[in-house]
Amino acid sequence: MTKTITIALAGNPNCGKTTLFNGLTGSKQYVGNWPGVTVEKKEGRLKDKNNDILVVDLPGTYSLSPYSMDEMIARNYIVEDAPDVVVNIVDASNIERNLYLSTQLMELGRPVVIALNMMDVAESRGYNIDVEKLSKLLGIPVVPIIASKKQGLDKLVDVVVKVTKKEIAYKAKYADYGEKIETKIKWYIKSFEGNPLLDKYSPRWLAIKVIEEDKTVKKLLNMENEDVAAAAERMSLEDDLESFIADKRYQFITDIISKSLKKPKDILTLSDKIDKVLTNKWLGLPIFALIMYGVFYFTFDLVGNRLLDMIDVFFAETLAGWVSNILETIGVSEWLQSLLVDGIIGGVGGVLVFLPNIACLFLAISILEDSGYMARVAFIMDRAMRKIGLSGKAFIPMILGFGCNAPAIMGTRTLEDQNDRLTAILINPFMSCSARLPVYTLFAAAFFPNNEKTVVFSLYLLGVFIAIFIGLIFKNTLFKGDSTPFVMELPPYRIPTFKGLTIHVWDRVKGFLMKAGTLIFGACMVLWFILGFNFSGPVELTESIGAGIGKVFAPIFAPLGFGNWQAALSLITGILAKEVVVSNMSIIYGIAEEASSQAFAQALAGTFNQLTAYAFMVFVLLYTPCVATIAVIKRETNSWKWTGFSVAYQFGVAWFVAMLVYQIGSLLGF
Amino acid sequence: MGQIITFVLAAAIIGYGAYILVKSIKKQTQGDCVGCSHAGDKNCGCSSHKAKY
Repeated sequence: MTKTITIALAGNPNCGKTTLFNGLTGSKQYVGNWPGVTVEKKEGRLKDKNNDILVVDLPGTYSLSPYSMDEMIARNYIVEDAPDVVVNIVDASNIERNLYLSTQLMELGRPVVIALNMMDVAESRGYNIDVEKLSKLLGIPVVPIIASKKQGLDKLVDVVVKVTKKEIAYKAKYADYGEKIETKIKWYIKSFEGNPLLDKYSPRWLAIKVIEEDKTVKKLLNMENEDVAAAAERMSLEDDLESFIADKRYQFITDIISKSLKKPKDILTLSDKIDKVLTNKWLGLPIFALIMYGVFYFTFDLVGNRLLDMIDVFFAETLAGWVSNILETIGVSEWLQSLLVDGIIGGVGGVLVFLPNIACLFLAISILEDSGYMARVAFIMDRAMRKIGLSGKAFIPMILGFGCNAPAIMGTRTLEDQNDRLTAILINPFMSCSARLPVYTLFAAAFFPNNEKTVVFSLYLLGVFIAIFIGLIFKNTLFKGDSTPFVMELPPYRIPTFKGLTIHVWDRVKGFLMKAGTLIFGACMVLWFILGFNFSGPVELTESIGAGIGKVFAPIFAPLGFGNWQAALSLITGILAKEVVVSNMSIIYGIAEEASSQAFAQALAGTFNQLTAYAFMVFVLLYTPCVATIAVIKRETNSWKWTGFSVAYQFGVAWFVAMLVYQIGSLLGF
Repeated sequence: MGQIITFVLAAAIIGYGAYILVKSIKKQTQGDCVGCSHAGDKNCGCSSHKAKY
């Protein structure tokens, strides 16, 4: 049996690691063109002719110092799990900065192979890279590739296998830190000799880390009390040692680049010209707002609602009619007919009709992401957020929250500062995830038939505003401190590919369908039961268990304008998954039998009006997130205290804001 | 006949519904989104997700 070769993919954020991972393994991991898309290591398998290769995709990092969780994940994996080869993906169009990580990876002692990616972009900018010379100067193999076109991948795998089998001479060259530091490194290396616990570590790396005052390494070596700063003084260095070492690494890189890269004088690319407008200090935010309004126009007026009407008719009339007739013909009991038609078709169908809107929203967002615009949004928001003391980096997980809050909260791992991270976790659920869209669409269509897009757009904006506002409060109370600087690279603008968009949208649609066929299906069954029965048997809706539960909680919502049991029960069950709010409403108001939003509006008119419907949507936007998100908050904060706080304060904020909407609206005569 | 069909259909639907509901809730409480494709969701780190390539 052949031994499995483990290769780790490491590189700067946004250098194409996940694209290479997908190319090598045939996987379809999400590829983003902004930093922080991968925050966990992911594994895939590659079978070549004679070898079994395990590929591990690590989070992107600029360095291997333990400043943030994603850097720690990458570093710990390479140091502790000791992969056979580290494939360092280097963006050929940004080679100087990318090589900084390479110098650190080489010091770790594991064999490193550089995959020089995006050669096409580098060539289009007129860069001329002497790959052989670069390889010679670094002392390690360098393979030019274009991961997005799967070019050079066979050669890369071939080189990796040869390195593991020692068929290629491998002698990495290191930065020279000057006589004083090098003497100190040698002294430390000597002191590590004979310690079996340190066998798996590179002595040179350990020595450099001690000099850099890396707390984790110093703890490992029981050297926490070693005063390295004093040592720097003794060595008469002007800078602190960490800066001095970084400077030496850059000197090493500059020297190599000067001998292996020729590039033309800086010229403005098309992306630079577009950025002058889209990321303009004054125009950036208004343009973003305009684009998002366009997204909702597309989601509702242009395409989404036309398809929605067709599906609505299919579920409410065609399918429900067919199933009723068939069940009646074969003599199925009335209660089972009701379960299938009113409960399952009504509840699941009531959610599924919004599939076109969800698909349209994700198509539009995918276009913005793949074109490179969403990365600009993070840049624009960074400027605005830093003015109020929040890290701009926190806005990336906020944008991800438009999809699903659970992975978005995991995305906060890129934040170095623990206070920034907690703030970002706690405000993330205010970002309106896709599960809430069916609720808005249902109510907006029923009560604001000609202004759906404006109403839904206002809710998304309100979510962002509340998130930033609450973040500001946290930053000035619970989590005081300066915001950490945010460095991000803006990818060049690209025309999104049909294949890429199809994959993104299909992933979302598939997820939505799976959720409808599993969780929502099961929930509808339970809802049908609790809405049709009480402990004495089948009863009228108002006497049911569900109505009883709703009536207990309804008074809480009375100051918000929707103190009825129907709304209360929907909101409670919505904690399971937000779509269940719609299923609940569908079953309660029996929209399986009503074919249009007007009919639904009529059914709802007894319990809601325009103002209370809007207050209800605001509450759904802001209140306690779904169970999965709560579980992720617990996992990421590792604290029941913060999880409980998150659940409680979000309910409080939702109650307060919805109450303000209703009370102020009432005073203004709406 | 009608009663037999009712019984079979009810057992299948209620059985599936109950099973899938319990399984989904269990998944949700672990922080895994039901419906997450493990590939489409950015940063998906579902604890139940295992490499299958």
